[in-house]
Amino acid sequence: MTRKALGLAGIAAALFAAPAVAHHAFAMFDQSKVLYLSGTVKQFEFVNPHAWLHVVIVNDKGNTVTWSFEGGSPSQLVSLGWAQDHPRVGETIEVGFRPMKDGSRGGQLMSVKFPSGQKVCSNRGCGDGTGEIVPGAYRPQ
Amino acid sequence: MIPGVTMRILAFVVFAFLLAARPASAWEEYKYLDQGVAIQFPAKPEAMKSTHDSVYAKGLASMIYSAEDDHVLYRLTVVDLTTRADMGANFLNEAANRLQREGEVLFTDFPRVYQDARSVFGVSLVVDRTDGSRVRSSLYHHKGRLYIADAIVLPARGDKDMTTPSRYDQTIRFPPDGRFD
Repeated sequence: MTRKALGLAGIAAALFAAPAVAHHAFAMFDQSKVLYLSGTVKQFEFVNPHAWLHVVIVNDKGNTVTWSFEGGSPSQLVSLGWAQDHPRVGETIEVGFRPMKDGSRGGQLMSVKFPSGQKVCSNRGCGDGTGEIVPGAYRPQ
Repeated sequence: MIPGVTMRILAFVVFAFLLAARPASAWEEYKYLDQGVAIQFPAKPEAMKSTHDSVYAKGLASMIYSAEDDHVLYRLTVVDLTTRADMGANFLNEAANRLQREGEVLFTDFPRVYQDARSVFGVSLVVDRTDGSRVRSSLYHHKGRLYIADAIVLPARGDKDMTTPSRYDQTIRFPPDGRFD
């Protein structure tokens, strides 16, 4: 138990030791809207400076395509209720995101809603009026 | 339905999903401490000495680190301006000016690395070049060096989706500054 707790503490320390190095002004994302897509988690990269969530989505032609969403830093996400294995590969989720202005298959990750109904924000709030700026204090509407 | 046919359809569906679910490239950070920079590449980059020409000086020593993945060329150019550090802003803006003249500018941004008093501000451009490529380039001047991080979507890729290429320049940082070090 102690060993497990120490291990978790070590992982947490490693995550929080990483820098919060925001690089851009998010101008490439359309800040006027939040869109939603449902799909299957292909990969969740819990990395600095920004986490990346890759989701396989079936488009309106019936083809599977991968969309990629840029989230906050791991330390920020942990404070908002995310974890390295949450979401998990193969899980079906609904992603809330601010789309790229040029129509590319991706956007700024704003939220993930799980089949259980749990929703986590990736930012200061989920961008749609839900969520809280206070870390980990999501408030369902 | 005949069990054998069902199995074949099921196998095809699984195969199609696995193809779509191919893991994204493994991005890894490469540190070039002698150049005061670190950046992530999706594949192991090659290093090459080069020179940089400017209206202010010819043949400035530079290093180029590059890797190609999925028909996108990721390239970091570091130009040594230590003898002309007071001209950094001009060298940076000259390089940005040259880039914008290579095609149609689709997007500009003014990113920064680090926060508060440690901030290093730069400029980003996305340009559709006349040669059919699309480049996203971020330029910074820091401690006597000009850094140019390019993600060049080559025509062979077939589309110009910028989701993955836009990731590249955002991973730049300047060791030993930063809590990573």
